[in-house]
Amino acid sequence: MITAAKLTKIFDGKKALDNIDLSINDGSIYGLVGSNGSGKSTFLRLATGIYTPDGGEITADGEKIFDNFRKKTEIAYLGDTPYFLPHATIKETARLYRTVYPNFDNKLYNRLLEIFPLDYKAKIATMSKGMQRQAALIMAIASSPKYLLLDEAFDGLDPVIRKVLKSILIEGAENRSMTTVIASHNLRELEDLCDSVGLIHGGNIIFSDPIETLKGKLHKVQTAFERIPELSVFSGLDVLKIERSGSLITMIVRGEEDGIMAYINRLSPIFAECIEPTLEEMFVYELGVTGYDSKSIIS
Amino acid sequence: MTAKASSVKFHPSLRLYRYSVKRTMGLTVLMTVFMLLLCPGYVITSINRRLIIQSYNVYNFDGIAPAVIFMVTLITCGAALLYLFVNFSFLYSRSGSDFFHSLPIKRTKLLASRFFASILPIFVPMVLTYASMLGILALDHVEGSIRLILTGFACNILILLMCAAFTMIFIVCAGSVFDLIISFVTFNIGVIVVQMINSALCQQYLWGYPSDSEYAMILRSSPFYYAFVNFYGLIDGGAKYVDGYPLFTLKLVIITLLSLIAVFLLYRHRKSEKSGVSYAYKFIYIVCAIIVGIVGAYLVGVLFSDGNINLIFWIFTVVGGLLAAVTFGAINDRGFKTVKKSLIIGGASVVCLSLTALTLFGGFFGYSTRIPSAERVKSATVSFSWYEIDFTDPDLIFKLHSEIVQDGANNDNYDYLDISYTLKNGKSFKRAFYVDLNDYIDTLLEIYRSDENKASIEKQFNSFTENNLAISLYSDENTVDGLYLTPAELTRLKEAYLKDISSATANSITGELYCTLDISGFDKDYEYLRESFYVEEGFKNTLEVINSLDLEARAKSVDNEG
Repeated sequence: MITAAKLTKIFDGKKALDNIDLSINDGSIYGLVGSNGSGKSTFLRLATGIYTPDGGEITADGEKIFDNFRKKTEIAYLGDTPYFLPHATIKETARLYRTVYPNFDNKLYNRLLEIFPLDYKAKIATMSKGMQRQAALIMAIASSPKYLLLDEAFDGLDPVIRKVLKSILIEGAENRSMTTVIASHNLRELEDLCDSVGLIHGGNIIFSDPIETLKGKLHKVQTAFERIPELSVFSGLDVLKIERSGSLITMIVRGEEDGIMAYINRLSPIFAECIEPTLEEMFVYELGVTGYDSKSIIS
Repeated sequence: MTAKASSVKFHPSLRLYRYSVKRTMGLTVLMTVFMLLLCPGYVITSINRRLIIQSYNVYNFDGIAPAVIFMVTLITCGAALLYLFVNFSFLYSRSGSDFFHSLPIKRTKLLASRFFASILPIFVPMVLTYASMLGILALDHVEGSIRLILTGFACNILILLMCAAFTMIFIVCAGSVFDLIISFVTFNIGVIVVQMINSALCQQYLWGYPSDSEYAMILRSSPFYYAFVNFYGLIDGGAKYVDGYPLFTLKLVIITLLSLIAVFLLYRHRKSEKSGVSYAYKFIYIVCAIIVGIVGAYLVGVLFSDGNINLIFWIFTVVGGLLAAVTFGAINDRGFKTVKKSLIIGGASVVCLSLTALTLFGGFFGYSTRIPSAERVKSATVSFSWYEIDFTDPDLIFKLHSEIVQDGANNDNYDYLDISYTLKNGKSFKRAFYVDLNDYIDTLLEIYRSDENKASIEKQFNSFTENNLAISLYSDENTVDGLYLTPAELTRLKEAYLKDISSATANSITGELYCTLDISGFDKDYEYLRESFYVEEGFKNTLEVINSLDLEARAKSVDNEG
């Protein structure tokens, strides 16, 4: 488990991370969401042991990460701009990873080479941005890390490859208990992948919850009535947002689905259904509740 | 999973080292070829030319060895710096730094593996080149010193390690390639220029400072300059002021160890987020900015004061110091964001320069008036006019030195007098003064007429063998050059001259001479000798012998024969 306790990082007197507490469970796929400059990449670098904290601590399985080479054999990091040795090919880069990662899995590496259509003898520097990212992903995943930390993992990847990558990450979590942390500013990318998400803004974690918990909390209810009732009839529900469009009323409601539907059905609607809100909707409403301006946080 | 290794046996730093060496193997092979072209390639052809084409019987390798060894040292050190820049370039890109620092290797081990991956491959061409030098000595008709080659090899290794370790300080402290080059060049050239400025200020303000100390002062400025100049002086045997092998080796080892300790500490605490910014450690920028400030201050001061250190010099020094620091700051910041900070650094440079001048003017903590105690001194030499008189019993020198120190500095005097003590611990203690010789005429005459001086002059005469003696005479009225002199005539001249020394007057001291005699010949080792003897009008006995030699008539007869 990756745990941050009162974690602080300061750059030139400005706090990039301010006293944050965060736990990421083993075997989960965790999405760290936030706008540019919110502190996502800084958190990942601290979790990889690239940066040293200026306050608090960050641990993996209870061990500090910075300069802890044994713990770092279990962590693979892929930054927003992948780095490759000058003029290196995929084959040569794999040799380097094999050199420093004791758990480098050749079988998995060969399988990934089959999945990602790359020429392993070509110089990586001559490849497109998306192909370079694929090459870096092959290396990071083949290192068989316990913790895979990805910064803007899907940048530059085409939709097919994105789908493939998601299935590989899910497979890693299921078969190898691999914990994946994906930092992204794109909520839609994380929608069908992550089992937990955290929102970071201005160096603070605004919330961090399993998606199921978030989903369990919020519901999007659409209902229609023959005679449009006063909105006050919904006062018995914990309504976060309500919109009326003709005879159709759309509400975001906090609470148990069964209880909400039972309450609405008592009002004899022509039609009523409870649908899952999107991750973005959930974030917008949660932020609204906590008093943040969602537009400035989620781009 | 495959390719697993137990954590006990797994040494990622060692494996990274091997990987890095393999990556640069092509470059190492290329360097080996180039170095072998120099030696044995070029050297063998040179020997062949001498032995076969120019029909030499024996080729002395010692003639070319110092140059070859020096070239090999230069090439290997240059290659080491190149390898270091390549292997540590990741420090200057955010993605590179993130990548290497995310790898499961301890920071110090990452540093060590990349450092040794830069240094050790160079040993391959280096060892091969030195082995080929030893091989050349084994050839027929080639002679030379094995010791010189082995010493050169040992020094080459030490210099290589020192250069690499010292360069690493700049590599670790810089945040970008541009700033690495700027700080590296600024420091290593700047520190030499600062020592030159320091020496110029010493000459201007420090009473008693001997001007020939400048070379020693500059030699000990930049570690690079020291290593290469001292090394060449040692292997070539030509330089006078260089440190001997033991001290040279000790200094190199100390610089290397201190640099390595500093590098390891700096690297351990180097923040990865500093990659891509100008400097990971600001102190290197401040040191370089102060150096630039001092150099700028002095150069602008000298430019506007026509080379004189006066009020105008000091006014323009302030302007120069501030300008240089602001310019350097603008280069560092890629703009004028921290002009205020640069102005403070420029001001600090001017203050440094002024304080140095003030301290020197104040005698530099007793430097100007210090006289070594008699029990520390082994011998002493005093030089004035054209004399250089050595004393094993330096009482008279102490007397003269004390008189000068008591009188203090006087800027109106222009007679140069130099006192040099050789101390019992092997070191030397030198002072040089501008004085009016007439103020110390009694003591100087006492020195000139002393038995030690007479013994020294007698030794000069006696060092000639009887073969091929020649005499030259230079005076305002007459000049004769290279006339034959018999051993008996030399003896007569010697006896007369020694007798006259006892009655020498102030004219001998202040240089009001009648003539100068130059005697040339060979010593017992067949080395050519030429000694000068200064004759004042009061040297009656000497002049009598000179007249009896009838040099003018001899010159005419030589002309006629010619």
